[in-house]
Amino acid sequence: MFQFLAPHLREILERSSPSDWEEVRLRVNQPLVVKGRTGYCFLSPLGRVVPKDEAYRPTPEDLARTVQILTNSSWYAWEDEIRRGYLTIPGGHRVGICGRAVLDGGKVKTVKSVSSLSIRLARAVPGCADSLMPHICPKGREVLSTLVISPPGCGKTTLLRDLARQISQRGFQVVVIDERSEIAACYQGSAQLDVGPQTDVLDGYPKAEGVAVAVRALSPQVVVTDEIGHPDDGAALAELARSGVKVLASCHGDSLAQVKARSWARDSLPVFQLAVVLSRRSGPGTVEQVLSLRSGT
Amino acid sequence: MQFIGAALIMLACGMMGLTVARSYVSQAENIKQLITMLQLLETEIGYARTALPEACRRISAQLPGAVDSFLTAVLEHIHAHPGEAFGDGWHAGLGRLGAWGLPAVVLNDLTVLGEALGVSDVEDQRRHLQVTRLRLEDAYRQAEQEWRTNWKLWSYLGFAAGLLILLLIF
Repeated sequence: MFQFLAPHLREILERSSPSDWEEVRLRVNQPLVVKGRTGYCFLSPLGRVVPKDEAYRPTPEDLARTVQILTNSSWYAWEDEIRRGYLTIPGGHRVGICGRAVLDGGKVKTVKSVSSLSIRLARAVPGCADSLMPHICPKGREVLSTLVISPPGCGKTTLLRDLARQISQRGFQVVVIDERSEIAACYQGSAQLDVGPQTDVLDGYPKAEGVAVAVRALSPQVVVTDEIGHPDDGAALAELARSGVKVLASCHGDSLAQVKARSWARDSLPVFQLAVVLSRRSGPGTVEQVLSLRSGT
Repeated sequence: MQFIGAALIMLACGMMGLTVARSYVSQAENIKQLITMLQLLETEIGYARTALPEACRRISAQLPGAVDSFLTAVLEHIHAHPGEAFGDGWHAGLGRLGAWGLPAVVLNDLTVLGEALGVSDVEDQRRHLQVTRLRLEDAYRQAEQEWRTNWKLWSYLGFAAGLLILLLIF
């Protein structure tokens, strides 16, 4: 991943313990922050964990150079992603971009003067869904529609990826609607992370359009998608349920009760038969609860 | 022996004149190729949103000669210096393009374009490409005019100079 950083930042991070890092935060003239399993810490110019005052402070040139490498010197090619606030790079890593918005008719046209980058490192964890497979795919004969709930950074996407892989390996036709290219991390048409041998990936499709294409053309038995929560998602998920397609999806939240209180949940929740709540209590991907939504528990 | 010597002088002078005449033609042809390169670049950026290195690769394969040499140098530089700005690679390519006898004004216009390429949205990129293309079209018209004026002159001038030398010698 670090080949996408400005040379100086790359050296610092390569000198540290990069296998532990989940997130790198670069802010102009502010301490260089990384997030590991134990939380956030600061890195010195030599890549050592140090107090805040001794940390390396990325320069505007560091960020400009990093953006240039991330976009392959082609800002225009990532315009839509930048407008949405992030871009996904080969390997499935997501880079949040913060800067000055240029507006056109009240809408963000582009971003200039990038002031910070938040890089979330994607990592496949094969087998992380092992403990949930008996609940989601009982006896291997059917798949229960499941909603994975957790705050950001608790492993929702990693879990969905492994569920897609394992369900696909059990012979189900799976379609991944990968709006942000984070589940399969497609790059030039090829999935960089294993999502199974019988999985089709609709890369970059908005959910509603992805559902229409999947149902019309790909005859899926299971659809996997990340981060639902848009008002239109309810109709798209209901369309899948009507077609007899099972859904594995994720959303942000601390608990099922919190999710139920949201406006979009009224249409979306009836689609699901199971809810899985994750946390970071014992590291990312800690399963807190597996709830059956059929009986309303 | 005298006849062979005279023929050699005529041939050498004539060839020199034809080479100068040919340089006017090739200059205009090279500018025309660069205009085509800018049109293709505009299509790759504006419609296909192709990243610059890939766009350069595709265009290089379509346009042999000066453009191929230029874009190959750009790609070689980018490949050899990962992490450097695209503009640096573009600048390195212009160094090689200079050897193709292009007017300084064309090289200057391309230098300015190199600083703007890839750093803004599609609309802005198109504007930069269109402005450079218009300037190169001006340069092409001028080169074409020079070619028409000077081509015949140099074609004959070489042989005429050879004849003059022969008259002075003999």
